[in-house]
Amino acid sequence: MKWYLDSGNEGDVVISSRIRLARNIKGFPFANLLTDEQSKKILALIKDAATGLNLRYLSMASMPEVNRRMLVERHIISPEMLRNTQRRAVLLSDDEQISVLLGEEDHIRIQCMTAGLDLWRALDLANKVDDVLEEKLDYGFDPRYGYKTCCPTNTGTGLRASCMLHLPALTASGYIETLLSSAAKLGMTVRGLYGEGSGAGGNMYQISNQITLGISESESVKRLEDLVKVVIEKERGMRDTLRRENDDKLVDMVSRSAGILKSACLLSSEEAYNLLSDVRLGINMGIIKDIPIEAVNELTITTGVAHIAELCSEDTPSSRDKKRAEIVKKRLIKH
Amino acid sequence: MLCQNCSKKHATVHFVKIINGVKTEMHLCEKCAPMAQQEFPSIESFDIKVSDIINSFFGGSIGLLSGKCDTCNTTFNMFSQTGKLGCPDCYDAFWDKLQDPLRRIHGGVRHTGKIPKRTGGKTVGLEKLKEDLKNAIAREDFENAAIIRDEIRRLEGGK
Ligand SMILES: [Zn+2]
Ligand SMILES: [Zn+2]
Repeated sequence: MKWYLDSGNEGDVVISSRIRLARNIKGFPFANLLTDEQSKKILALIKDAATGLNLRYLSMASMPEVNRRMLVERHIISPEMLRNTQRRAVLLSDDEQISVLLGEEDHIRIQCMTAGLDLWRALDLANKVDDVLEEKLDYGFDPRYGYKTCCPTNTGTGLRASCMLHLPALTASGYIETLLSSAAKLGMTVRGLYGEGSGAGGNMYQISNQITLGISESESVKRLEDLVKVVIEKERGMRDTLRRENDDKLVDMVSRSAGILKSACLLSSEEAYNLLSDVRLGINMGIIKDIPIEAVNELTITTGVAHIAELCSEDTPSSRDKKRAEIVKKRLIKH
Repeated sequence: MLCQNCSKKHATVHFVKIINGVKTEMHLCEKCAPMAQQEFPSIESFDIKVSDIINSFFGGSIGLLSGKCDTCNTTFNMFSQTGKLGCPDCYDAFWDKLQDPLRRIHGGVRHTGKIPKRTGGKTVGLEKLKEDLKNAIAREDFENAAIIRDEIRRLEGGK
């Protein structure tokens, strides 16, 4: 089973946790200065070092374009991996929890994802992958300043820990602005995406650490976890307030959104994303009881443009919108 | 309006992205939008402009931007523009000049995290540390000098 179908710890607010470790191989330039020859050599070296890990090796160039974009939608690869595909590959576990990006900005980027708030397990997984790789690979490393990365913002541990949060109540109340600026003061970054006009697009935010030098891996993870826990409490508090002060409106909004998803014949990706956010809130607040959260987790991924395009015989916006509505209806009415 | 990502198609999706309270608008086409929507842009490109930090230390004084990494031919001047180093050896070639930018970015300048087992958990040699200390004092970087001095004491004490 794919990891993202699950709802993990604090799953009413935290969608997923991710750990990324950046590593480079000694004796080679960083990815942007590699020659084709060196790049081939590096891919072969890493592939060989990863033999014991039970990961599938997928070369970007040998994959149809739509499948690459599907990997982006599933958060397995960064959009940067869609460029220069000749030099890029990914090592992927069957449940898609572990992915190792090869040939991105750094030679190696180990990524481990877990459902809900579970940074420590993700860190543990990433360390295990790292331990296996370093048995055979000589990393660029110096005891004074740690792992040598292409960008000085990753120097040191090369670790980026992040959590994806669903914050509809904090967004609606406007409190999110305060959160954004206070997180920066703690050496954390919060990023979110807003769709214009309709308001919050999916209400999804990513919080991650910024500092990697002079701080250990566990300290980085601990600090992020502490901040995320505070945000969880604030979001829950705000949901309670919404319920107290605006119950009818709230119940009406999430029920309408569920209704549209179940009956629409055309759905754009943006609309689906927003409606799924409402339904997610409705389920987590106990308002919607006939839709399982797993269905929302699944649809949040499978209604992406590339995922739908792969199912369409003709790839146009209107045929995609039709297909998307079909998929959603089928999933929500059958479950 | 054309899509800001591919500059080919008409932009139909408009985003306002907010990172640490700073708003950026993005106008994208149908095809490019979901990529921006689903995957958040890489942290490096948005939050910290490394080149700005470097230029705030060395900006204007061309002499200070000199220096080249012999392994990959990246010059410090090139690094100050892109914010990206060329190879692992660049760290050694530009070490002295990297201290202040690294401290500005991270607060610290000493690695305290994981060490690859293959290195045998080995720390820095005494000789290298003494050289670092001399350089730090010459740069009047006394904060760093104090850290290095403590490390030297620890190593010598351990013998
Ligand atoms: Zn475009
Ligand atoms: Zn170099």
